[in-house]
Amino acid sequence: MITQMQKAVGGWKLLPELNLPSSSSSGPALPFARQDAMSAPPRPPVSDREFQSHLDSAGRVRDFWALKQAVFLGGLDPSLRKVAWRLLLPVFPKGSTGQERIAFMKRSAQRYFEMKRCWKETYAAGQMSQAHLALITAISKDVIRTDRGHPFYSGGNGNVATGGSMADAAESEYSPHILQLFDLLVTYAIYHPSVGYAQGMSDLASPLLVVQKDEAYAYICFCALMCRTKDNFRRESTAMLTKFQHLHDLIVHMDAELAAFLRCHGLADMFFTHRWLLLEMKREFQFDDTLRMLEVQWAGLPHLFTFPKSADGVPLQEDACIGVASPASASTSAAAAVSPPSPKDTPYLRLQSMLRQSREEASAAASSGASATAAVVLKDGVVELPPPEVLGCGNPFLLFMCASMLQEHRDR
Amino acid sequence: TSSACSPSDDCSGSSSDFDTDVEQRRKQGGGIPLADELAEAAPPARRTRQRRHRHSRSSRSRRHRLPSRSASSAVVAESDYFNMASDVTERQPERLFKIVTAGDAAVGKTSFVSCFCDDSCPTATVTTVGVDFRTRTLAVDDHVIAIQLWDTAGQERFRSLAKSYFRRADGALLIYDCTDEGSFVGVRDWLLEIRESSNSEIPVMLVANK
Repeated sequence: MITQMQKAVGGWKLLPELNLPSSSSSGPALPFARQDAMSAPPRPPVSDREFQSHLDSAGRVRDFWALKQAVFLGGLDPSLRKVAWRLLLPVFPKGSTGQERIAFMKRSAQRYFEMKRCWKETYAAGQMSQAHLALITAISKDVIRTDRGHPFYSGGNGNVATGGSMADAAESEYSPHILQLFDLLVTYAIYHPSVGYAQGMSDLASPLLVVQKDEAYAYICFCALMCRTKDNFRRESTAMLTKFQHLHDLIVHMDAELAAFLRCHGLADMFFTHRWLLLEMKREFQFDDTLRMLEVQWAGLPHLFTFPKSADGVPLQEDACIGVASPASASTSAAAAVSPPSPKDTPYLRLQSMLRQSREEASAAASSGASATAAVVLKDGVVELPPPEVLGCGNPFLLFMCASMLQEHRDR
Repeated sequence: TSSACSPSDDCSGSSSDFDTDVEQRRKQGGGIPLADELAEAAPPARRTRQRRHRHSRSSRSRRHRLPSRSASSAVVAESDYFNMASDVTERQPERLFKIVTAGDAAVGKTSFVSCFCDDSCPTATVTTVGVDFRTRTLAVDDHVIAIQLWDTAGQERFRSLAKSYFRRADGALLIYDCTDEGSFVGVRDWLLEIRESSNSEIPVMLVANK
């Protein structure tokens, strides 16, 4: 894993050659595009003591960039993940104190259990809509196939309940953690109707549950992660197409020979990297290495993803779905009231508009092509890549990891 | 039963069905027996016929079963094909056939592909995301051919990407779960998708699994 990450960071060293626009012209810069950080060898994981030194007496993070840089280069000591992941994902608003964070987690956990109780009651009363029942069936089929090799999810006899639904499964049939993963995903899907459930989400949620060891806390973290990655799961696939296009561009730019090789074998559309990009490499490493890789990746995200869009911390549901999930919504609505995302968040809006533009270009290019289906525009040369906040839809490091994995195979 | 592939005889049944079918076609002198053409969703009768042959595995000739295993990674699989040295067949495949799997989520596409390419059934599989490639080399009469199986994700949400695989396919394996009516109903949609997405009328074989 370390070797792979070193190679990935080795890919990062190519940054100066990429003609990326300077930070002044394109908004906030990538945190680690500085020469000293790029040439530094990976350091040991951030220890508890070092982590504490990043917090002031009230538990506020003194310098988020210093912390993220340390994590990016060395990862976290496993004992710190539970707490530090919430900062990286990010769950909390800017400048939160330790006490505020604890209060937020408690409040949110309580709200989560109310939301969950609500759909469970609806289900038990037989009043659940067909669409929600379909969600439950789909999620039932996937959670029993998610990280089952990990001790955390072992146990139970693993037999699937008749009818494929897990909502009324007996405890003994499954590991309790599988049921927690199930409840978490169903709650998310029901309370985020614009996203719903798609295959791959269980893979993203699983490490969060393993690390948080608590269903509600894992849900909060999952909401934070999905805020950034939900576009990958949308039906129209435009975000994924943009990523395929950017990865294609990156390979053409970095390694013309490799690009030509892929093209001559009909792989230049990069669709074979779908799993890498959708799951952000979660499946490509051993589980424990995955945890390290994920935190490094999150620490390397551009500035715009340092804090949640909402000033109150990460929202637990979409505004649009209040009252949708249940008839007994009196308690839910009250519990679920979240303030809407701040419209004054201009850097975010600007990013959105850049992403939209990028996607429109991609879809325009696709529609102008000979085929009516989704397409990546194959290029012979790429002079300039999109800025870091746009490259890879805001996760450029992921693209560099993909490129490094390919180069590893190429060299062999 | 929605667990990927539990009783092993079920899975070898699927694999065996396919091989039996292949062999039958071969005996009928139908050229390279890749897949069966189906005008529309097959009636259950077809499944019955396949089931009859399920246990014939041990008695039939295995001379054309010359597996060439390859890793599932796309890149490795691809290069495997191009350097597929003949550790097994001593001959380069004359042709590569790209076969795409299709069918609803959790009907057993990945298990089926593993059974076919590895001759062994996985006890557990993970949800397929995107696409996986597996290759197997077969000797059919005097021809050595390679079958590249593209194992796709079943969820409806990713079909716009799955279409791009159909477009390049030489044939499709349309799999449903015979314990799940919904997955059989879904066959119609899948057939439409395949017909719309592929450039020519490619052969489609309907497979009942589990």
